[in-house]
Amino acid sequence: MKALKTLMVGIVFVLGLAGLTFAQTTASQTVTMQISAISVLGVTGNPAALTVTAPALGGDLPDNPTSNTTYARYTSTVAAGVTRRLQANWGVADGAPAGCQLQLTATPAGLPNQGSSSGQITMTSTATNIVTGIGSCATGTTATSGAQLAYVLSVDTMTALVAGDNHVVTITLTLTDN
Amino acid sequence: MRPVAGTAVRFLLAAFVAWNLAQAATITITGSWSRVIGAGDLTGGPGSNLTATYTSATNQVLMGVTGAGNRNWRVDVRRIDTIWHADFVLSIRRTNNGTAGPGTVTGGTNYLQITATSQTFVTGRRNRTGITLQERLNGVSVSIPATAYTTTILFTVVEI
Repeated sequence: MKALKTLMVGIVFVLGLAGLTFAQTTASQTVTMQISAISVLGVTGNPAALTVTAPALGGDLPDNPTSNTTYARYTSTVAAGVTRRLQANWGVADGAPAGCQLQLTATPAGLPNQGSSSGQITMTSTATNIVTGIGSCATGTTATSGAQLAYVLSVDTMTALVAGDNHVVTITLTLTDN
Repeated sequence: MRPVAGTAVRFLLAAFVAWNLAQAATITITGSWSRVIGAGDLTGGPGSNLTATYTSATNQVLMGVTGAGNRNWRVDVRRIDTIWHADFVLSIRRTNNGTAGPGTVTGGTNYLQITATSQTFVTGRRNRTGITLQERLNGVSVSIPATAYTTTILFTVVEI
């Protein structure tokens, strides 16, 4: 009986020491970070004027004037599995000079998630894809970062050209979810 | 007389155990950190990346350790992810020495990266409350899919 009491006292003492030595409690805190869907688009400026000029040799057709000095820069964050596209259009009242069409090709840099060119489009008032498959990316902000915008004023009908016919149009680029 | 003495000894020992359990150090954490990262966090407009590093207020979290008696303790931290991104680096640091209580707190004034493995964050002695903590998130970029990411920081006080 005495041995049992000694054992009990020992157990109680050990429990007491355990409480003294190994007591621990916990508390927690939640950290939440929300990456929002970001769709930010800008252009580096306006293209140079596209002017139909005289050919070098009389009797030739004039060359198609071009401008490829501007870029569309974009920053995009999307949810997993979502992509975006870059579209272009002009206003319903806009149009090319008689006998001409305005064509546009957007060429991304080929870096991951910056999308693929849809090739050359003819500008209309209907938004048309110029780059597709854009994921989460940032094209960069240097002078030549982003999708290069190559405009061509294509002379389609020589006999319809009117000297002095001047059109100023506004091209709208839109970065939109698929 | 001897049975009375034995009963008294047992009572005192039981009281000793109960006292110890009642006096176990307890940690209290108040506050949380939530941050929405959006277009306003771009480093330079269209085409630019997101700012990589975000810090909370210096007193974003309040920590207190009580019930420590005269004993020493340490606080361990680890992370339990709900939805988290591998690029994220979450760190924590202590920004003051506490504002109340007879005790002290030491260490933890440099950012400690919180991982899934428990690590010692600070140590201390006796009760100390009003300890302010600041958190920092690194590794943010546009390559991280847009969604909400949540993790739980588990603080454990251990008597030493």
